[in-house]
Amino acid sequence: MKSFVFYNLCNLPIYFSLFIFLGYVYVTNPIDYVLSITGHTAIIFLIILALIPHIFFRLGVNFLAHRRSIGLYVFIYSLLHTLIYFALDYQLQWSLVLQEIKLHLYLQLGLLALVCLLPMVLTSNDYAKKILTVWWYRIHKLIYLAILFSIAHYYFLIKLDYNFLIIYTIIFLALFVLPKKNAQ
Amino acid sequence: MANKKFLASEITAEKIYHERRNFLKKLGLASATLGFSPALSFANMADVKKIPHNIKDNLTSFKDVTSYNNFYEFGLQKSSPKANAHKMKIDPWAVEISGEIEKNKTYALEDLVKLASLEERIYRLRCVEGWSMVIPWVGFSLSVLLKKLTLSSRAKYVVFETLYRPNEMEGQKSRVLDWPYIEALRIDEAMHPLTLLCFGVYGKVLPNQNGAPVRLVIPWKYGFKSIKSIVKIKFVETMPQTTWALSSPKEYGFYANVNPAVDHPRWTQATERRIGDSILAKRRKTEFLNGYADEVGYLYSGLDLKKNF
Repeated sequence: MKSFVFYNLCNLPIYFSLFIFLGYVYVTNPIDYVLSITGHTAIIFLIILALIPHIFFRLGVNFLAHRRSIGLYVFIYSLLHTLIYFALDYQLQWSLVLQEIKLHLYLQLGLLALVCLLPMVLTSNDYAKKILTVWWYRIHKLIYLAILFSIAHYYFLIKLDYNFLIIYTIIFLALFVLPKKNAQ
Repeated sequence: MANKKFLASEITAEKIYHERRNFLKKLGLASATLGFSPALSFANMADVKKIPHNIKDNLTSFKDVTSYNNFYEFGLQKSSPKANAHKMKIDPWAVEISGEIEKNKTYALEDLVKLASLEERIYRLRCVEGWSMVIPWVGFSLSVLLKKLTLSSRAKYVVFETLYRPNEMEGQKSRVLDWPYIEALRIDEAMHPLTLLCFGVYGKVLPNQNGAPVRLVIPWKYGFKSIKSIVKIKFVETMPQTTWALSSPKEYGFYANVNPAVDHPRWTQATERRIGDSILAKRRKTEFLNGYADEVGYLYSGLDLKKNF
């Protein structure tokens, strides 16, 4: 039951995006809106994940069971975000997309963030953790780089509305100040 | 005749029904526009001249035109203007004209709107953010007003200012931009017949969120040049500072002409997403001067548009 609630909660942005694309929820600029939903969700999940050793363990909240799932959700939302940009916004016009990536820093930063997630996704299984030992922890420090690139990606995209950016940045900086406590 | 519930005389004749509907409609419009100056009653809008145009694209829906707005005086979200703009009081309204001009003049809105007969002009609107609409505006050329004034030879630019009233425009309480909003044009740009002094949209008076009661529409420039809710017009000799150019000079220039060859420093201007297009539709190629190059291109001959963006 707990899992049922957890997964549906994590899926909510997907359900909402689907409702928008299918026309059940009306928004004026659906592609832009869903890009925004998936992008924010990815960053928020990423930040929650990074906060686990800093805050949630102290609060006695045991996220262990879902930690890997949240990580995979970060990747799913980042991938959806990227695919919607390629496939819907640019309708797979690759020459146009490549031109855009070549010219615009925010796209390069976004892709870098996605690339940072890949090694973590590939090593997210028990077997990898067992054979990589100390290297597994080193690889998963990439999360900080992924957050940094995501925030920078967002910074170079927005116009005037800095509210979310400020919140994300403060939490990101707090990660380096708050003492860390690892799970036993 | 047990089934008969109405007498024939009780049933409203169709003609009377429609008359009543029209009356109610007018009443509804009147109440929907409470706060509007009587000068902008619907009667004025009814005999709007349709101006021929060659835009084959569908009009953007009234709903989208009036609910997806950048009007930062009312908040930062696209939905904020519709949610908050009703607090702006627009009756009475006057436009003060000053600067390099023979005599300062103040036009009450009801006098301003009567300077010429109103026309419906269907224009493309291209936002600097990369989306676009097709909108049936109502108004007349700004040149009609300018020709009524006696400008001094030093009048090279015309500056426009939006209402500043933080109690009614809550976005002005935060300093995201340097209020009041200022925009400006070169005199020859302002005199161009396409530059519209706009009072309405979709045959109705402008809703507050679209810049009531009077705004500019300059279809070959990015949307932020088309200043809303104008209270002041001033003629000056030197190129003035405008709000966005002041806020971020590397990103927003004085001219802000739509130009697919000159990207915004952070994002593309080569293509645009047309509001209302299917999610399976391609982005459209942005046209030089938003497709109005034949009409206004001569204004910029010899000007380096990469430098004067």
